[in-house]
Amino acid sequence: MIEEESTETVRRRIDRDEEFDLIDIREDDDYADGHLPEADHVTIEELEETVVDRDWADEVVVYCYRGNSSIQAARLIAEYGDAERVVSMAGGYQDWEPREAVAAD
Amino acid sequence: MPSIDDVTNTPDELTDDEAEALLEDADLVQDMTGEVCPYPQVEAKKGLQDLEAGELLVQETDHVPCTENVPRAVGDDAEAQVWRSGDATYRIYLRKQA
Repeated sequence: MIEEESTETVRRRIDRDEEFDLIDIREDDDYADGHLPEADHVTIEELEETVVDRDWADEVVVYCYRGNSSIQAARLIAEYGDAERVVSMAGGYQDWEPREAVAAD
Repeated sequence: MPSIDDVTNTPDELTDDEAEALLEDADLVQDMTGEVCPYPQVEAKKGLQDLEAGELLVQETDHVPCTENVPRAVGDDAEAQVWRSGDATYRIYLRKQA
């Protein structure tokens, strides 16, 4: 059973500079258009290939578009990775509200 | 190699013969190949709205999580079964409930 965390909880983790892996499993274009701070982009296909060998942080947060596929991806990491706790971000990127627009350089 | 398939909870699976026979009977077929959540969930719900109780919607997908998430999204509106081609494509069969 994969636990879910709200976007607010994930934001607090980021603000506190907590140590965890933040994984974005969405499509390439959508990640390029915008993503959570410091999120790693790892598609499900890449995750299948790398989940065993990657050195996972103790805690992992996975997100997708709405918090559906991230449940299965989180299960995959929990099952095959060495993380102690893997959660899915409820609501996904859709529920994430960037605090401020990032100005283009 | 680990597979997302290993950790996806799908509904009852159909045999190849059952899957083919049912596909011929389908009242609506949606090709969701290349699409990822949440679009297939949304389309499944919309598709079921256009069907009568007892009619069959079939979704074709290559996104494994859909085989769990689409049936969950439609909930009690449909009875779900899944067929695996064995070649990374899947069909989700949704029989609309009364």
